[in-house]
Amino acid sequence: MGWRAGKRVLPGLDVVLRRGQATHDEVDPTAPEELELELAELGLSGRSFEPFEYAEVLGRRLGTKILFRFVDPMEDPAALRRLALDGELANARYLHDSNVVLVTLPANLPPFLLALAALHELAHVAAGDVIEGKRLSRRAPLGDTGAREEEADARARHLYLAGALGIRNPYSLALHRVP
Amino acid sequence: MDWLYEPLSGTLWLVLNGSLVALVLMLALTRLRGTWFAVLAGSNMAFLLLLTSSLDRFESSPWWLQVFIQRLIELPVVCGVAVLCVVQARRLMPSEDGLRKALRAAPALLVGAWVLAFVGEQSWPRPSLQLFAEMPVRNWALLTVLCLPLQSYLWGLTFLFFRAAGPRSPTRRIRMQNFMLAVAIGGYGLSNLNIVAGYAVLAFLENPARTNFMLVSLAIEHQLFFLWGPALLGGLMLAALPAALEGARAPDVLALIPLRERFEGLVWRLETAGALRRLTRPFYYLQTAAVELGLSEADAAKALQAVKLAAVMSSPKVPPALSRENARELLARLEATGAWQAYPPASWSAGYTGLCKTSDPAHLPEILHAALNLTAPTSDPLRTIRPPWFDLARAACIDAGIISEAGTGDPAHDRAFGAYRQAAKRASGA
Repeated sequence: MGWRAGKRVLPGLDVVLRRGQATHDEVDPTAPEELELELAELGLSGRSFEPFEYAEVLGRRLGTKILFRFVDPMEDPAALRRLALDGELANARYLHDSNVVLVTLPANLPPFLLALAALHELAHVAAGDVIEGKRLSRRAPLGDTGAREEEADARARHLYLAGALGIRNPYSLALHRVP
Repeated sequence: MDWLYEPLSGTLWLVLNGSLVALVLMLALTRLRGTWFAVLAGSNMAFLLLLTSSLDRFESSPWWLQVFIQRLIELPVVCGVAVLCVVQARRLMPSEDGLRKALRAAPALLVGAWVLAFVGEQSWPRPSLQLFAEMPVRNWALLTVLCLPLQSYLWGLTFLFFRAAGPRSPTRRIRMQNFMLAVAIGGYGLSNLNIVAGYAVLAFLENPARTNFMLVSLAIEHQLFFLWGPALLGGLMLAALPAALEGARAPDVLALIPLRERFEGLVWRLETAGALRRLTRPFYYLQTAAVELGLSEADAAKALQAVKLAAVMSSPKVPPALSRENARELLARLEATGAWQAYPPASWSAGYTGLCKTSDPAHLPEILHAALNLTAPTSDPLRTIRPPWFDLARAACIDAGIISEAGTGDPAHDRAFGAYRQAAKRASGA
């Protein structure tokens, strides 16, 4: 209790005692504050943005191009059925030769789901799950697939909130507000 | 007395400090729920005021007690700056790792410097509360060196707040707030520098020059107060005033996102996997009847979605996430978030509306309400409103066998039901 209380009073002390080595493993990349910092780094904190805008800025930051492909249910219903049966809404893959990340989305998703699915895939890109060695997150990609999905979910929800609320996003305001 | 050249009288100085403390404390009381910074600043300043107002009583006390009180006065400032540094460290960009580490080391460095100064001055006590008393050179060297961390952090914070007063801050209010706080911290940094210069005067000058320079130093300190005092108050006020209006609904939105995602995602999966194939024919009749009734595209989409949800919810194999209870919870949350329910904004889907043949996301509450009413007509109040698209959805539900005709009143007199029947007849005849 005493040590914990001490850590609360002097939050930096434990870090200094370990020779100031704040490793990246200590970072919780799904904490809203951390995600807001990532948005600040992209120049999007406190601004309304849509998924495609985020994709453009993220792609520029990572030195790649992020493209979207919409699967028309009339043209390829079997592909969509496979996605639905697998429990997936979308997927993203990196094309090495053209240095492009291709995000595939069903064209018949409702707007809310479409936005969230696109942001989920972009969250994987930001976390470093899609392009090896390139990421926005301070933490290296997780090994476990389930944990990666959970991280992408949390990231997507924050991105949705931030993009939709813009200047009213409380995490952005907290970033600039005096404590 | 000209305050530009001479120090303020002791009483006036205390009154000014007391006024600032009272104002900051008043502000803190209005902000207790939202932030702790005004509370910290106010209580620290009150503590300082209490000590400085009673310094006269200790002027003739033992030297060890004098240096003890002198160090005690500095402690709140040291702690306040350390806390500010740690908090600012959390707000740096991920790429500013070096600066983050430096700021996170502030508590250890500042408190360490304070402890060393405390121990050093207790080892070599001096009459520190006597304003014009000579200071030994070793004390001057010790205090000057140990002031460096505080000076560094004060100027570091000034830089950070000035930077945050630039275009990267989202609103004019936040930019002005950060500018004023930068002025306040910078002003206090200058004041601290002035104190360090005063140490040199005490250590190296003889009277009367020492007394004259100390009076100038005191006058400068008082003038700087007029810079940082109002700036601190202004910055804190700007931070406090609109807090109640900002982002109050965000937790509701965050709670809503996964619920809505699960609900809409499951409906989409069921539909895409072919679970709603039996509705193809009723959907066709519904769309034809909607044209005949002169319904807008948006209303026709609402009717279609309501039938889809009613079919899913009334299915005996309904997944738990799509149960009536979950639908009710989602509806309650959508209504609780009020205006936020319209997200995503229309512009988000502007680029691909041609591909998405779905209803406006802002209509989900209406559709959910209708679906709940269709599947259990006596429990929801929508029946009393009955928009035309609802009657059409009901006709399609009866045709698809989702609900029984007996439980929904007398649809024969329903204009929408008639239009639906006509559409079905025409399609069969063709």
